[in-house]
Amino acid sequence: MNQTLRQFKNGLLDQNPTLVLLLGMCPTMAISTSLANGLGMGMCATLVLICSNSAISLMRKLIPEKIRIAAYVVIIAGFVTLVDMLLGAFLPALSQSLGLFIPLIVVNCIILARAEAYASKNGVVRSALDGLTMGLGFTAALSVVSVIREILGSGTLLGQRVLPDSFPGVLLLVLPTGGFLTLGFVIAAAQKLMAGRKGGKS
Amino acid sequence: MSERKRNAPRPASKSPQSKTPDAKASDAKTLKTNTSKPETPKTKTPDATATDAANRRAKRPLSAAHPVLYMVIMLTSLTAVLAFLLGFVNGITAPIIERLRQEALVASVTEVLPETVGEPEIVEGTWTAPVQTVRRAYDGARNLIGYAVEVAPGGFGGPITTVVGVNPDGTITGVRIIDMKETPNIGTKAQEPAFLDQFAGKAPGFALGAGASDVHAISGATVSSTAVYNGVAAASAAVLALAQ
Repeated sequence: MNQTLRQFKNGLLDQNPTLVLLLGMCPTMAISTSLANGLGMGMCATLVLICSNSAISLMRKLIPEKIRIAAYVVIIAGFVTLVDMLLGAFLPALSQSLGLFIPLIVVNCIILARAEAYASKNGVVRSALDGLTMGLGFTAALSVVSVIREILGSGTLLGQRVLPDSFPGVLLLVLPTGGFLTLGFVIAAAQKLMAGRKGGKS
Repeated sequence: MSERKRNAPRPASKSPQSKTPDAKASDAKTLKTNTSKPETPKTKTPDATATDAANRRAKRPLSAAHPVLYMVIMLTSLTAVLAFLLGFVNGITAPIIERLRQEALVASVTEVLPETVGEPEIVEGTWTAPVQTVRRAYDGARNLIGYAVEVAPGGFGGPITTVVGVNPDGTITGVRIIDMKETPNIGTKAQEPAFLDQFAGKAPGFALGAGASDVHAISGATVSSTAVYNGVAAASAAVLALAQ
């Protein structure tokens, strides 16, 4: 139980894949232009993380160490393609809005990193939980960046107008440049908050 | 390979992943170990029978006796299993995806040609890209009201599947985007009514530009705007060619 709590804390805060481990920058830049995109990408990545972590954990004793990366990439790409095809056939509405991001998950290094750092060394249940917590951490960080970029960049939130129509929207924030800037500020704020939390304890 | 040789006397269940840092360090000693123990079975030992005999004696799994062969078999079978799985799932999902796409296409015909009654019929013929298909749409009295042309011009991120409603005289009645892979929030603005509604009522030969009667491109999304314009213009031209 204690370890479960610690895993959640790790995924969301201490080892947040986006804000602390600085993994998955490419999808973060590409899709954090609106909250709907951020949530969608986060959920898809979480699903693939849980699947790939479980599968890799199950096969960790079978896969020779020297070809483990190749084997992980095959497993991850297989799952992503599977998710893509199943979404397209059975949840077409979701597939329509996420269609652009699903192939991006293959190149999301968070998934490979968790396979290598966690799933290849731990049991199936723990690895699946690691996939869930890391996925949630990724989703949370993505949502924060997306909210800032959507409100200031387009003046909307989840597609609804939240700023007055006279506000033109900062195009810079919609472009990748704005993604880097926003992410930098969010990481700085997160580091400051976490440093303060640790300082308060000691 | 070296750690497997070192592990050989130990129980065979020793897995590669449970390697300790000290076993990893032994990688560096590979060469020394090899030269000092020439009789240890190697993957490419020419004396295959001797190796087999040694394997049987030690009852070691393939992973320890033939590491390279084991790797090849593992990766090949892993890839093969996944390929079969993907092929199997694709066999189930591909027809469903195609059916959904056709349904979306037919549904959008009534959006670009609102008076359409019944299912539009496909016009046989060969079309040049970006035109994909042409459908005749009829009203309740079976009078031809126009054509629904499916075009797929190349955008910034791949083809933009578009349905264009065209009157028999080539005038545009409406444009709907079915599928695009443009940059979110930039190129995707080309599927919003603010851009697409400009096309309605345009006669053949209309231009993309800044004039009062031109279609205005989206700033920041010139490639996507131009692609949609090219698709709509091609649809109009295809219908005019059909009428002649």
